[in-house]
This record gives sequence, C-alpha cells and structure tokens, in this order.
Amino acid sequence: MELEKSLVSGSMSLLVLKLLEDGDLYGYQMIAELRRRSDDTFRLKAGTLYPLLHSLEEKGFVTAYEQTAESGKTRRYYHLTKQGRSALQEKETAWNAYARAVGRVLKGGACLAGA
Amino acid sequence: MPERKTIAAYLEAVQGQIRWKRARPLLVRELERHLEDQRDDFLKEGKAPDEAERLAVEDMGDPVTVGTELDRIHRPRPQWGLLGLTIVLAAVGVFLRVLFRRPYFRQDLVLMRALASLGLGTAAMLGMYFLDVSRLVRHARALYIGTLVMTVPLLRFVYPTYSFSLVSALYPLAYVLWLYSFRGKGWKGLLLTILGGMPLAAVCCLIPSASGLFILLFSGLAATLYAAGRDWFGVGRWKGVGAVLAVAFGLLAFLFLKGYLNSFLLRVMIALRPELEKEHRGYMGWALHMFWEDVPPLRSVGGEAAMPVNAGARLFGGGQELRPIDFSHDFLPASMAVAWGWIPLLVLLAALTILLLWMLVKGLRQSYLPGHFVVLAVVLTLGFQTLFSAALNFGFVLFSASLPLVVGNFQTVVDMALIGLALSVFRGNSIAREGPGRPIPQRKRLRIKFEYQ
Repeated sequence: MELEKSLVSGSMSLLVLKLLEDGDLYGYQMIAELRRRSDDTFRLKAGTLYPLLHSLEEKGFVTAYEQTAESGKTRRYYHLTKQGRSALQEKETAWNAYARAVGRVLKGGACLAGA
Repeated sequence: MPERKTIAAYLEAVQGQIRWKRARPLLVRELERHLEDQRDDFLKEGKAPDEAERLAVEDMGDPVTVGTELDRIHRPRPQWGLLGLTIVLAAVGVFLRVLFRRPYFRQDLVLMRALASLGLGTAAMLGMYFLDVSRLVRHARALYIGTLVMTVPLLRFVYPTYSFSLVSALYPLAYVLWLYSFRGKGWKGLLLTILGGMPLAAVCCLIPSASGLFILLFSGLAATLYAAGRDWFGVGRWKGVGAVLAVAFGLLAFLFLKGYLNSFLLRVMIALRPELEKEHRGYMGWALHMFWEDVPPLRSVGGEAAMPVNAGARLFGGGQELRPIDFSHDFLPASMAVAWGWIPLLVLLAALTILLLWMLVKGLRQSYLPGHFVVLAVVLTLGFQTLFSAALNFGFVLFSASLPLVVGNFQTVVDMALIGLALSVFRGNSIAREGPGRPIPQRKRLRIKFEYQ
C-alpha cells in the first residue's frame, strides 16, 4: 500500500527513534528494519534518512560512532541517548493521542452514516 | 537536469551542495557506504553491475536535495563573541603592561613588544580556531610524546620565563591528550595514563617551575577524575574514581614520608601568615599585605598611587638591605589595584572568570566527547593560572603565577593559542565525531559540575 508522503514525513523521526530503542543500528539496517516491521509499507529513502539522523544528532537525541562490522566494513552506528528516549516517549504519547482522536472521528462518521 | 547514474557522480553532486569543506568527506563517506551496500544487495538479486549501481543511486533520492539538507544542518558555528572577548582582554593586558612597565624600560619598546604579542596572539588564536580538533585527538599519543621531547631540550636554551609559560600551558593539554588515548583500555590504560603524568611532572621539577607543577597536578587530577567518573577506561565508574583518588592520596603519603610535604606545608603557613617571617621568606607576602591596607575600592585617576614600581625597599627605611619588590610582571594586577583601587582589579578577574566559565559550560554541553577533554585542559590550565595569580597578588605568596592574557607578552600568545584551540571545538561541533567504539554513557550535567567545582 502506498501512503501519502505527508502522512509519513511527520512521523518519521518517531519511527527512527523507535527503531533505535532496541539497539544501535546503522542507516542501511534502519531502512531494512523499517520495511520489515511495517510489512513493506514504509520505504524510506536513504536521502531522507541521513539528513533526519543528522538533525536528531544535532538535537542530542542520538549519538553516532564508527565500528567495524563482521564484514570488515566500517559502519556508522546510531545510539539513542537518554534525551532521545524521553523525546521518543513524548512523541509516542502525542502520536497515540492523535491516532485515537482520528480513529474516533472516523468511527463517529461511520455511525452517523449508518443511523 | 541529466540523471546521474554512478555512485561517484552522485556523491560529487551531493558534495557540491555542502559549503563547509571540512564536513564533506565525513558526510559523503556515510552515503558512499550506504550506496555500496544497496548496490551489493541488487547484485545479489541478480542485477547487472551497471544496473545495480543505477538502482542504488535512484533509491537514494535527488542528490541536490540530499546535499542541500546536509548543508543546512552542517555549518561551522562561529565563536565571534568569545573570540572578541579574548581579544578585548588581551588588549587590556597590552594597555596595563605598557602603563605599569618598569620605569627604566622605554615606553615605545614596551608598547611595540606588547602590540606584537597581541598581533601574534590573535594570529595564533585564529590559527588554532580553524584547526580540526579531531585530527589532534587522532594523534594524541604522538602529540604527548612530541610535547615532551620538544620541551625538554628547549628548557636548557630558552629564557626561563618562556619555559614556565610553555610548560604550564602545554603540559596539562599534553597529559589530557595522553589520557584520551586510553579510552576503554581497562586498568592497564588507567595505570599508563597516570604514569604518563610523571615525566611531565619531572620536567616541571627540573626547571624548576612550582606553578607549572601544581597546575599540571591539579588539572591532571581533575581531568583523570572526570574521565574515570564517565567510565572512560571501562573499569567501572566508582572503581575508577576510587583508584584515581587512592593514587592521589598515596602520592601525598609518599611525599609526607619523604619530608617534602612538611616543607610545602611550612610554605603554605608562611603564605598564610607572612608576618611570622617578614624579614625572610614571608617578606613579599607581608609587604603585599601592608600595601593592600592602603588600597581603596576606587582611586581617582591621576591620584597618587601608594605603591610605585620597585617600591619595596622603602618599607624598611634605608637601614636594611632588603631586595626591592618588582611590582611589574606577575604583580601587575596588584600594581593596577594600588593605582586605581581594588574594584577595577575585581572587574578584570570577573571578566576572565566569565570567559573561562562560558567556555567550560559550552565545552561540557557539546556532544563531542574528545572536545570535552580539550576544553577541560584549556579551562583548567587558565583557571588555575588565574586562581594562583589572584592569590599571589592578594598576598598569598606560594609561587609565581601570571594572570592569563594580561601578564607577559609570550604568555599572552600562548594563552590566546590555547583559547583558540578550545573555540575550534565549539566551531566544528556539528561534524565532530566519536572514534571507534560505543559512546561513553552521558551523565547528568549537574552532577558533573558538582563533582569538579
């Protein structure tokens, strides 16, 4: 299913922070993981991901470090900071409230239509 | 616009949008690795090499948009405020050095040398300001050894004032760079870090430079405690702090057993109560106490100063052959207070303190950990110099110390270079990156401040 771009872009930082909650990842892994967890719904472009990651780093939500992977290639891993974890909680709460509100409106519309 | 289909062409297009040259290699390298991973996956799916590369590039998105976005995030952060404040303080120093010169020195020569120090200092500060600190920390051990090897022979041939300035300014930084290189190296790393301080301390004893030694010991201890408190060596936070404190107390016990501590404590006692030995070792402190009794909060300009340069001999009248106090150089702040009152001196000290605290707070707030250590070394060095100089000028005469940016032409150049180095950390923070390995966990800033204040 193709989603409208504006729907995805607003929540992208939330999704990226959520991915890092379970462990440190590098950019390529994040894109693959996002596709896997969303059943191929979120196909994030790398050109969107890296500026987003760098802006999250600027805000102090993530830190980056280089580490050589088993393949012998050096990767830049991103790590969720304590500040990033708090921001993630706030964003999750806001998103859940928003999703519930949208759900209620959509549900209410359906009831009226059926009345 | 023609579509770019190779990785090299794509990266070149991205790079073209990033204006900060220093940021380009770092940003492009990450994108390049991603494109290579993507291309390799397409190859595994059975795509032809050219097609795999084209698809990888297309998947990345528009290079101009990507480059523009990265350019927006990664810009140098100019530190004009701190640079300006440093130059203003150094200019005040020039003014004071000319005004309170020794009477037999020619004003035009003193002025020329002071202005030259301001010019050279500004050049040195800007030179260090544009330096890439990550390169410095990459060669941390080489720089430590280089500093040691370079300064040892210099001490034999260089004028002592220059040796004191060089040693007291460069050794804490060299030690901190040495410390930085032992990240995650365990107990061996901690031990080697502490051992690394010993040759530096030995040179300070050989000069001899008591202020250099104490600045090195105090800043070295503070930096090592800071590192251990962040589990820099990977031995556990409290174990590391405990070990550093144990070494510090062990050293004190050793000095006590050898009798060095007793003579030092005697010096401290004389510094606190100089009147007990006012005709011998306490003379300088006692004379300063006498002078301070006459210093008002503010003295009108043009009023007669109670303490002309080289005026010490008059305290005892003509009957005694005591050496006069040279109230220039290290005692320049006291001369200023005698001439204008103690409020202008406090304002000068407050301005220096604000500069250093501003740098410390900025340094500890930024995310680049090696930068913390560089800023810490600079602030501790200049902070202890300020503290020791203030103590000396207020009559607590333990050892000589020059007020940073104010006393000494050569010292001013070295101090400005150090400040430039600290400011380069803030300037390049957005592209400053950790070296290999997981980042050291961040601690609450308030606790860091509390421990080391």
